[in-house]
Amino acid sequence: MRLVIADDSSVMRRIVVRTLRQSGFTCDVSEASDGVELVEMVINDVPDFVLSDWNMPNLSGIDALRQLRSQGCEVPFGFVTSERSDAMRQQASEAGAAFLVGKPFTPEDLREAIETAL
Amino acid sequence: MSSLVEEQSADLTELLRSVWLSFLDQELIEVPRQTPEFARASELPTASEVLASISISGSWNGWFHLATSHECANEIAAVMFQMDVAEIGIEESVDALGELANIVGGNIKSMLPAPSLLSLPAVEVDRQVSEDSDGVLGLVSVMDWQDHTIVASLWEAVNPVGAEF
Repeated sequence: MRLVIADDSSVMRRIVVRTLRQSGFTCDVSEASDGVELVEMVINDVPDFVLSDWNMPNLSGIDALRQLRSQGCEVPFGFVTSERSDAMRQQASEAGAAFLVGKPFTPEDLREAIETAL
Repeated sequence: MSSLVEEQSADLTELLRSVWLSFLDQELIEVPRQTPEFARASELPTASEVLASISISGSWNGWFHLATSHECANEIAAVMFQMDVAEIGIEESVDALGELANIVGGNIKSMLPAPSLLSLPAVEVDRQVSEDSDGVLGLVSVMDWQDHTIVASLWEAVNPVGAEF
């Protein structure tokens, strides 16, 4: 699976990749450190899935998703974020995200979310 | 300290433990308090040489601090990055402590009045929680990890500049 992970924290990107591998996914991963990089990366070479943080510098994950959808990009997209509220889940869903997983998360949390989305 | 604040401080402790277990796969131990409450910043354990902060603004205004020593921040980063501690530089330790503050702060935000916005983490080196900070100490949790002290504190702003929605 080709995956783009977007998070302004380098350690969190590393943890997400590690957790996905622990969950049994074989991933070819590209990393973005903000929403601007994320949009550019996805538009240039659409991956099988995007996992993104919500709150990032320059362009947030939610705004990156909105930009992608407005450009006709239907890449499967999920959020992995420290904040989780019903309001955020609704915003994520309305923008076209498949799920919002909260941090801290377990390998099972990520696996179930991605398997359900794909 | 009111029983509600005690209960919320216990929630903060449990949240810290959960984050540590998930991302460091290790236990955090709560340090028993010497006094019933920490009324001022000067009474907090002086753990901080690295201070990671998140601000919350909107229906509730204030900030969350996660403070510890350089050595501890480096060891945290080594575990999270799965690198040798000798390979850890300031960039990695700032990133790791900042992300932990982000995760705990984001979860705390869900316990506070909504709506509000969470800032990106800011990490300062060689700075302690200041007695002059324009806030009132709300919750505090003092933890021990591998003989290092970690202090987590939540402060409510005295003169908030609220976010507009």
